[in-house]
Amino acid sequence: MSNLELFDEDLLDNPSARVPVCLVLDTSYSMSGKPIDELNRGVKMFMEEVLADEMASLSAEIAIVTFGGGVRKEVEFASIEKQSVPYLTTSGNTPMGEAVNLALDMLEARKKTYASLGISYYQPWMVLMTDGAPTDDISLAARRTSDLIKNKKLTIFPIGIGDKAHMETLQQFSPNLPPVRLKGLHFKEFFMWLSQSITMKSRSTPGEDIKALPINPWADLSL
Amino acid sequence: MSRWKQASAYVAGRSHIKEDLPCQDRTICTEHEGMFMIALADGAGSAKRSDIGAEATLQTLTAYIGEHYDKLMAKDPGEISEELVGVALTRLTELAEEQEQSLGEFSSTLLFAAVKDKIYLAGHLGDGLIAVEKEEGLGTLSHPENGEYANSTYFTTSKDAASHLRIYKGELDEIQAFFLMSDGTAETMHRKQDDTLAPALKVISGWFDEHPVETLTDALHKNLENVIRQRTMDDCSMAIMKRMK
Repeated sequence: MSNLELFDEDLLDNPSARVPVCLVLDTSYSMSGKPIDELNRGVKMFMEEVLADEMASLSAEIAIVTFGGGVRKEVEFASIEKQSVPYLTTSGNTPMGEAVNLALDMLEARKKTYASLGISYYQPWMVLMTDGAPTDDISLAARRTSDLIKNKKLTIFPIGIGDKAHMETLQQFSPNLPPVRLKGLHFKEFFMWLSQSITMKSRSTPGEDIKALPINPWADLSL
Repeated sequence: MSRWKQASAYVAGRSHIKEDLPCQDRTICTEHEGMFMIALADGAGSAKRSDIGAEATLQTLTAYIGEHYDKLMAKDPGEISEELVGVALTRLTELAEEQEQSLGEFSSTLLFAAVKDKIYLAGHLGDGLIAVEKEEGLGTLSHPENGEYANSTYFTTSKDAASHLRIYKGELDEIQAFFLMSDGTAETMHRKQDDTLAPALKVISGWFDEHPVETLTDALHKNLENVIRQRTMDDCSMAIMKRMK
């Protein structure tokens, strides 16, 4: 038997299948103070958790778009090992529609890049977080997310922060899942849940339905 | 009449071991009145009894193809697909009724290659890969069929499964060996970007010239377990047959 062995040089490598995740985060002025501090801690922990997991670090690709005053690409899609944690600051109003449109364009472009390089990928995810109501027109962006979700081309997690988050607006982006209100400022719990969900997704095989992890550590389920 | 040497093996993936779940891949090698056949099925991830479904699909279809090989070869690929999926679904439906489960719990992919005299018949539903070895080298006979996403593919119980069961038949010509592999194994045996096959297939083919079936089966199992499985989380399986000179 000793000579019937394969060695690494006899085998080939394929890039890991990617899970593209775009965080679309409200950084308008009303997020100033403790909310933005907690959000920054949550995003930092999220990126560290994903990096620490063998499979998730090879699979997850994260982008961050913020909307506060203007719309900004804080983090472009890339392997997490090459990314740095952004420091988010607050400013101005809430151009949510423009931010979601930008995020959708980025996800679409990323999928094209994967296809051109022969890299497999999972259904993209978008996290949309806000503590208020949009100050621009969201109709096009909401129509785009709804169409993608109905065609199983996007999963969206709409999250409201605090009592003033306009849940009816968030609902317009998400025809299947109702938006969820964050429990207090439990951003860290939310992002821990998100990184664990990505880890499970990155390990899924054909025909496998990933059971959603319980959301009670971070979701306000009192209503 | 040519003789073909056959060997196959399957091992549970690291994620299934961690969750204390069974291996959902199955393989089989059969011989029936001069027809040599290998087949492989990869049970659907979250289907609770897909290991049983994969085994039943292989047992049923290898017996059926062995029995009806000549008649099947006279048919068009589309007719062969319809017939084979129908046979598999009949057995899986029986199983589902016996075990009071839904049909989907017995879902699997399907790959097979059968040879008799100078002709071959092969079929492929879903992911995984079928490769062949000829005088001039290795080549891919059938690529995986996934949906848009990495965790989607087609199974025996999928809607329109027959239209996704790709049938290949023809003269063997210079084909010396067939290699069937599940997607877990294909991760290290086939590079998607440039459709390159791993040198490992040539190495394994060389073993077939020198060792008996028992030794080959043991070697396949050990290499799946100790080498190939270490580079994926998925179940790993292979079925190989090679023409003996």
